[in-house]
Amino acid sequence: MTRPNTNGGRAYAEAGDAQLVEWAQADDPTAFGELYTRYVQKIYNYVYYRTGNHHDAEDLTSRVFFRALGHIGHYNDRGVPFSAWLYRIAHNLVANWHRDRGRQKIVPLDETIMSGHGFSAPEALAESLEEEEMLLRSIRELPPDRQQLLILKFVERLSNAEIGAIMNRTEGAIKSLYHRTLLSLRDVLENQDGSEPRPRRRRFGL
Amino acid sequence: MSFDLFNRRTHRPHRQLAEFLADHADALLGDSVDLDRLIAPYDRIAIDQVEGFVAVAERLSRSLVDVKPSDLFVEHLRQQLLYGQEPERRTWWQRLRRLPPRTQLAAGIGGATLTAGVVLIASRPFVIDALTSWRER
Repeated sequence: MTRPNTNGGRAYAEAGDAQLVEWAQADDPTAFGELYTRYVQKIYNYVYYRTGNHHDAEDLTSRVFFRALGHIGHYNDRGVPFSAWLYRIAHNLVANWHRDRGRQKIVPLDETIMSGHGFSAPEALAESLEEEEMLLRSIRELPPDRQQLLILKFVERLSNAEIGAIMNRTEGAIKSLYHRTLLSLRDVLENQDGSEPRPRRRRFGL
Repeated sequence: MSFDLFNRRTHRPHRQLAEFLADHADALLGDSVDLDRLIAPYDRIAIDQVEGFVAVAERLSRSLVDVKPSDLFVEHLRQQLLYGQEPERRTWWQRLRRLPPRTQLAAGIGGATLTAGVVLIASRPFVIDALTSWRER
């Protein structure tokens, strides 16, 4: 990927998001390109975990950035950073995607995540995959706001304040939501661990 | 399960526990986790009371890993955004091709049955005419 450096005296790589947004609003495509470079992987990650497959992640990521490009003239930083604005666009598009798919919220799991483990022994790998699958299935059962919180926290590695800006909640509310999310996940996992093993099917989609 | 720091009836988590879990999550995303050190500031929480939460958080941290989009996609989208047009929305055929194989098969069988039914109904007068003329012979 090529990173733009300077153009007409503008140091894009060093500029903050707010400055880049200002330039992009003044029809500077290079500024938007820099914003795209900074956030494309984060948005892709978020969408991927909410949809569960690369095809839809690519499709929705494209739409997020086209929508951002089309509406950047209307974006106004009133305490909502550009990154939070992008995540909100992504959140809305993913919600529409789930709505359009109706009852088919469970989608096949792409191999990428599962193949990312460094296990050499087949038994250890199988056990790990089964455990992971159980966890992902449990996350999928959570309400959308809790799924969003877990992705922003563990995949995007955002602070509680940043997550609060995206989800329009206070930092305290995010901590409280995280606690309740862990509590429900713990209870679900304890029940699953004690129940009959389920058929091994790789299905996922947060 | 009894857990005195959490009041299930009112569903109001204890603030200390929520604060501790937030600290723990941040530590998980950082370099290392020292539970004893993390829990020290919280006088109303004991390690055995948080072990279940900590185990779930560690599993989350291991399972929810970073996923990279393909370089080709990233570069193609960049070109489209900066110099090109917005890609057209998928046609119904493209959407169908992305459905799971079983759904595609069901759609195929359903479509074939429907087509056969329509053809049968449409050709019925010709079949009846042919049968009638054959009998008359």
